[in-house]
Amino acid sequence: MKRIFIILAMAALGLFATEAKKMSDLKVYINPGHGGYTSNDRPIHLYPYERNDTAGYWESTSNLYKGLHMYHILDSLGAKPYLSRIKNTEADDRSLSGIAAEANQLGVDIMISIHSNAGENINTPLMLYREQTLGTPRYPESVELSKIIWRNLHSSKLPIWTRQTEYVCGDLTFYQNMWQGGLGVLRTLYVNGLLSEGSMHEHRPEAHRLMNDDVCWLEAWHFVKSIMEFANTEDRFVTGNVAGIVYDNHNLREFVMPSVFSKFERDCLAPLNGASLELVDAQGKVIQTRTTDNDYNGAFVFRNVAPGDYKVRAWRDDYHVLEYPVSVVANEVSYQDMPLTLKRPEPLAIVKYSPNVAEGESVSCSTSIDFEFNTDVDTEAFEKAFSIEPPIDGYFTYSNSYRKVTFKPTLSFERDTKYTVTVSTEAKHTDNFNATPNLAEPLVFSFTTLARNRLELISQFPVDGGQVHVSAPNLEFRFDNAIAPNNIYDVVSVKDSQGNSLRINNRTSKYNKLSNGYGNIVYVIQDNLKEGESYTLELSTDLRDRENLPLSKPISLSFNAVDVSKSAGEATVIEDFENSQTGITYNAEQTNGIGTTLPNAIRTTSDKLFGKSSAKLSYKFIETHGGQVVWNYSGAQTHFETNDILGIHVSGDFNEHEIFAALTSGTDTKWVSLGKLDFLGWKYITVKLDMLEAGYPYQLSGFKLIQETGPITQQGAFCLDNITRMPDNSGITDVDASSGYSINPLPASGIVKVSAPAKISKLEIYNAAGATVAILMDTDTFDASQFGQGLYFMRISTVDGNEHSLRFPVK
Amino acid sequence: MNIRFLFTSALVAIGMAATAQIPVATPMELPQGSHHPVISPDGKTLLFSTDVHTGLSALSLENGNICKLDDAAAAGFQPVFSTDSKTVFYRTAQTIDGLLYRDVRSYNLVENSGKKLAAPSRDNVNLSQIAGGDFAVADYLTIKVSKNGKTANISPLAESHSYLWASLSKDGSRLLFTEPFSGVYVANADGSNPVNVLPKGDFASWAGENAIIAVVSHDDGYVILDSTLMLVNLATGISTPLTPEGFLVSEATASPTGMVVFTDIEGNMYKLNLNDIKF
Repeated sequence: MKRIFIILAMAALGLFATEAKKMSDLKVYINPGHGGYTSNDRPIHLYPYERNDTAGYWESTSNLYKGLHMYHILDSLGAKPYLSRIKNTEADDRSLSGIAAEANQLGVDIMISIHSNAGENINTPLMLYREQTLGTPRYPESVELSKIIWRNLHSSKLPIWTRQTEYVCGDLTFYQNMWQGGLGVLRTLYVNGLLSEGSMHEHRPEAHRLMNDDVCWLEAWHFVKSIMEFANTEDRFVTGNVAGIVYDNHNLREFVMPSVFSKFERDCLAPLNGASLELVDAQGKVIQTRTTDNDYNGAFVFRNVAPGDYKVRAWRDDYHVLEYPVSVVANEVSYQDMPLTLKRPEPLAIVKYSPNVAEGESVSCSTSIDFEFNTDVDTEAFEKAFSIEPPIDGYFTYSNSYRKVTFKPTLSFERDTKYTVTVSTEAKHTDNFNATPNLAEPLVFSFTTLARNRLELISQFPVDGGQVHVSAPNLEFRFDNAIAPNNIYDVVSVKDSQGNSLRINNRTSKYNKLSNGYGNIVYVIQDNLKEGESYTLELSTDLRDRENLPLSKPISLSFNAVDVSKSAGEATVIEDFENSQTGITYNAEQTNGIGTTLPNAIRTTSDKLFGKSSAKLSYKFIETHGGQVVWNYSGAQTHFETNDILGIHVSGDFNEHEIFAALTSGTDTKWVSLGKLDFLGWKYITVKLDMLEAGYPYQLSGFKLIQETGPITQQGAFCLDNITRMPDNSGITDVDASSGYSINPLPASGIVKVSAPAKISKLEIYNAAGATVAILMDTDTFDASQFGQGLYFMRISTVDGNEHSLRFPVK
Repeated sequence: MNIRFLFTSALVAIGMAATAQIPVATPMELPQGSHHPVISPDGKTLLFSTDVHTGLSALSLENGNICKLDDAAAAGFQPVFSTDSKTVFYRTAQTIDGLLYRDVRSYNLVENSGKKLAAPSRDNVNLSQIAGGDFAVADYLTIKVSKNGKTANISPLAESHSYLWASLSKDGSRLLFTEPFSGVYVANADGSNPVNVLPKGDFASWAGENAIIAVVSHDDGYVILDSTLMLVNLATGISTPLTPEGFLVSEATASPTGMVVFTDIEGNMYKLNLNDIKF
C-alpha cells in the first residue's frame, strides 16, 4: 500500500497515527493444513520407519508442529493467535471453507496456511497468495507478506535450497492447469492470507529435517518474524538463535530411501544422530544443551539466546569434540554447522583387493583394480600413494562412503601385459587426531591381462560409399563380441548432406540379436531417406562391449539413398507376389543342415517393395557351415532365353549367405547365382542368363540358399518382390575388355573410369527403362554413385567417329 | 459450453431418482464471478458480492432488478438483514499498515440510501445486534444467542474447537450451528439437546421450519475434491443431495421461506424453491 494513502487514511480515521503497533495488537489465524494419516496427508517413506508408519514423516504432522510452535511464539509476544486444529487425527480434516470462514469471522489481520510441498529433486520455499501472479491481486498486502515470508524462510541455512530467486505466485496462476478455483482455503478468505509451502518434503534430506522439532520451531519463528516486519511492529525478538547441522565431515549419508534420491552439498554427508551439543557463554557456563534426534537430520537450534558471544561445542562418543565461536544477534539466527571427525583408532588397512588371481591366470583387459579398506580413506592421499607399472591413464571412483576405491583405465589395459600395482604408506584415513593414520605396510601385487582389449567391427551395412533404399532404412554393425547397450543411441550420429541429424527409432532398433557370441546393433532410421541424398554416419569409440572394452576405432562412412523400386525400369514383371500363395515351397529332399525348424516361404505384408505383399523365405541352420535350403517355385511364369536378363527385388538379411535362382528347361536346371545377401533392405539384383542353352525356353523353378562358412548367425529371412525379365538387347554387349571398351570398377560404383581404343568425346548413359540419366562430353569418367543400383546402358563416342554400346550393372 | 444447461439436465435426473417433487435448480442471470450469496429472511432479496470480495449488490428475487449497494472491499462478507428484510447491515474492510480495520454501514433497500454507522475499528462488531430482533451468531468459542433482548454466550457441545454459521429458526425456538470437526447440529435455542444432523457441513442455513441446508465437501488439504448441497429434513433426519455428483458447490444460503441459492466454483448462481418439496 502506498505510504501517502496510509497517512491520509490514518488522518481521516483520527486514530493511532502516532501510536506504534505492538504484537499485542495483532490477530493471526494459523492453519496447519489438515490432519490425519491418509494418503492426502502426504507420508514420505523414511528410514528407519515402515511405509505409512504414523511415527514416520507425514506432512500433517510437521505442519501441525510448525503451527503449534507459531501459536506459542505469538502468544508469548502478546499477539492473539488462533489455530484451525490442534491435533492430528482424521477428524481434523475440517473443511477448507470452514477454515476461511473462521478466519473471516474472527477478523484476523493475517491468515497463514502452513504446508510443505512435493518435489523430490528440488528444495525451495513457495508462497501462494490469492489471484493471478500478474495483474492486480485482491489484496496487495498478501503479496507483500508472501515476499517477506519467502525471504525469511529462504534465509534459513538448515535446508540446502536449490533455488535462489524469489518464488511467490498467485494461486490461480500456479495451479491453472491442475484444477479450477485455486486454493480452497484462500477462495472465500476476506482477510490477508497466503499458503506457505515452506520447503519440499519429498526431497529426502528435507523430509528428515522436517522430522526435527527444532527445524519446525525455526520455521515458525521465521513466520512470526515476518509478521513483525509486515505489520511493522515496534516489537522485535530481543533474543537470537543458533542453528546448524551436526554431520560427519567425510563419510557419506546412508540409510536413505530411495537410495538414489537427490542431495546437494552438505546433505551428501552423513548427519549424526545422538550428537551432544552445548552452548557455552563467555564465562564458560553452559547456557543450553541439545542432543540431535534419531531421524538422520543432525539439526539443532539453541532457541531464544541472549545476544552475545558464545561457543558451540559438539561431540559424540565415536567422534572428536568440535568447538566453534558464534555471535548471537537479537532478532536473527546465527548458523553454525558442526562437521565432526570420526574417531579411527586403527591405522588405515587394506582388507581386500583385486585382481588377486592365481599364478598363470589372466584377467580381462577391462578389469578394474579394486580396494576395500577398514575405514574411509583419504582420497587425496590415496591417489598419491597409488601407482601402476607400466603406467596407464585411468580414474578413481569411491563407494561405500570411501571404504571402497576402484581404479579403471580410461580405455582398457593393454593386451598380454603384466601390471604391477603399488599402494605406498602415504595412503591414510582422514582422522588427523590419530597419530598413525597411514597404511602400515605398502601393498604390491601384479596381474597379467588377456589377449583381447578392443571391440572389433566384423561387418557393416552399408559399406562406405554404399547405397540404402529410401524406405524403412536399417543400418547394421556386427562385432566380435556382444555390446553393452547402455549408450548405443548416444554413440551414433547420422546426418544428411546439410548436417541435419536423422532420428533413430529407439523402440524398433535392435542389438545383440546374433548367435555364437557375436554382437550387433541395427539402427532403424525413423524417417524415410531422400532419394539422391548423401548421408554420413559416425560411430564413436565410446561404444563398449559387455566386458567394457571400447570399440577399436571410430567408424565413419557415407552412403547414398536410392529408390530401388525404380531400378527395374520397364522390365517385364513376371511375378509380383500379390496372390495369397507365393508359389514357393520348401524342397526337403534337396535341403540339408537344418533342424526341426523347417524353412518357410510365406506371403508377408510387413516388408514389401511393391503392392501389398512380398514373399518371405526363412531358414535356420543347425551347424555353422555346410547347410543349404532349396525352395521350389511354381508361380507365374514366362520363358527365359539365353542372354535374357533376370531381375529380382530382394530384401536382404545381411547374413552373407549366397542365393541362387533355378531355371529349368525339361530336365536341364541351371542354378544362377544372385550374389550374397550382404545387405539390409531392398536391392534389385540382375543377372544375364548367358548360361542357358541357346534356343531352349527356360522357366524359373526355384531358389537356393548356400550357407556361408562360419556365419555369425545361423537363422534369418529374406524377402522377394517383383521378379522381372528383360529380353536380350541385340547390338548391346556386356563389358568385354577384349573389345577395347571397358569400365572400372565393374559392377560400377563411385567414380568409374571408361576405357576405349581412342579418346572419348561423349558418354551417353541410359537406365533400363531407356531414360537418359547422363550425357558427358570430353571425359572418360563418371560418378556412378548418383545412379540407383540396377542395369544401365552406355553409348561411347570416340574422337575418331566410332560408337560402341555396352551394358553394365551399377552396384 | 452451456454448463448451466448441462447442470439443469443433471439435476432433473437427480430429482427423478430421489423424489419426483424436487424442483430443478434455475440458473440466475447475474454478472460472471458473483459470489457470497445471502438471502433475506423473507426470501425476496439476494445479496451478493464478487469473486474479488469487493462491493455488495442486491438482487430482487421478485423482479430481477439489481441494485449496487456499495463498492468497498469486503462489503459482501456476511451482511445481515433487519428482521423486516428492508435494511442491510454490513462492514467494509481495509488493511492499514498490516492491521485489519472494519467500519459499519447500512443500506435501506426501500429508500435506496446508505449510511455509515461506525468508523473503522478493530473491534468485532455484532451486526446482528445492530440489526435488532432475536439472533444467534457464532463467536469462535461460543455462540451469542439473543432472545427478547437478553443475550447469552453458550457452548452447546461439551467438547468443541469453535462454532460457525450459527442461526435461530424462524420461530426462535431452535439453534443451528456447525462445529468444524464434528459437523452440523440443531439444538434448542438455549443450546440444550444438540443433535448432530450432518457429520460435516458448511454454510448451514435454515430453509424452513423443519429444513436446513449445508454444503458438504471433501478436500485434499489444498483443493475441494467434491462438494454437495445437502437438504436435511429435521423431522425425519433424512438428508438428500440437491446437486448432482461431480458438481462443485461453492457457497449456499437459504431463507426460512424455503428459497435456496447456491454458487458453483466459477461464480454461477442457481436458485431452488423448496416449498413444493415433499420430504
